[in-house]
Amino acid sequence: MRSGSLVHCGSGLRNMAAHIIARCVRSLNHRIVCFNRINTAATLAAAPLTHGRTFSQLINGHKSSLAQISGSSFQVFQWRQYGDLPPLTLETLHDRVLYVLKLYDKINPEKLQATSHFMKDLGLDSLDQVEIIMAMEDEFGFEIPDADAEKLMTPQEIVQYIADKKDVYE
Amino acid sequence: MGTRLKVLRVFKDLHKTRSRVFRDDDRALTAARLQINEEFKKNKNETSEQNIKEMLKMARAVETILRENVMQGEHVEENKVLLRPRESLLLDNVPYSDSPRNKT
Repeated sequence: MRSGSLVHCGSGLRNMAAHIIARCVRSLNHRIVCFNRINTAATLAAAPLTHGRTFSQLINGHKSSLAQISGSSFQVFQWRQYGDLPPLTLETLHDRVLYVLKLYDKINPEKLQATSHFMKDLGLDSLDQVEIIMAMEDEFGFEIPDADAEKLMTPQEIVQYIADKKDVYE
Repeated sequence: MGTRLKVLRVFKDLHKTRSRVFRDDDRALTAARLQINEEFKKNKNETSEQNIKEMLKMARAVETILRENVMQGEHVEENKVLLRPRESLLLDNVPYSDSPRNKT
């Protein structure tokens, strides 16, 4: 079970905080009862926030899950989630696909690009490609039929396919 | 080409079953994954139709056994194991009968 984590602020923290928040929000889907509090308080040096920012999540079984982020400046959006996933954007989609691919042990993360072909550039075979597609199914939570799955040969194609299936426009 | 699809299909099903049966058990998950991958890679260059059919049958049988005959248990205390049954394994509460009457 995840315990609360304390984030000390530094100047380049916003991206990290956003990343942690995104990851915490993703854990909403796993239905683990966890109480996560990130308190970025007095150690804020350069950030223009005037008051402490608290971020708390409560997951209550099947009931509604409520996430609130309040704060000024960086990327403020207040959202309520009633048991649904955060909205997908092309950029987050792309990042998540690349993240999952980098975790795969047969891929060299340095050589990975959006257009790298699994078989021609990365030297994988069809069995590895099946494993990759399965990892994508787990990550995004929906089934990809075999007929479509065997055609997806680059990260860009995967992003495009998921965007089509999940109606992600930009 | 049909056999190729069948091979990939059974490969995917094996991995899916593996992730369901050994849920949360990292050690078993990785061990099973390596085993599945190794067995498939070993026979990757097989060309004889007959052998491929045999191996497909074997893979399908392994998947069935994993799905239907393997149950997960968790050690809670010394000498105590808590079972984690999957939905599909639970049967209805029918009293056991030594010599069941034939169904009509």
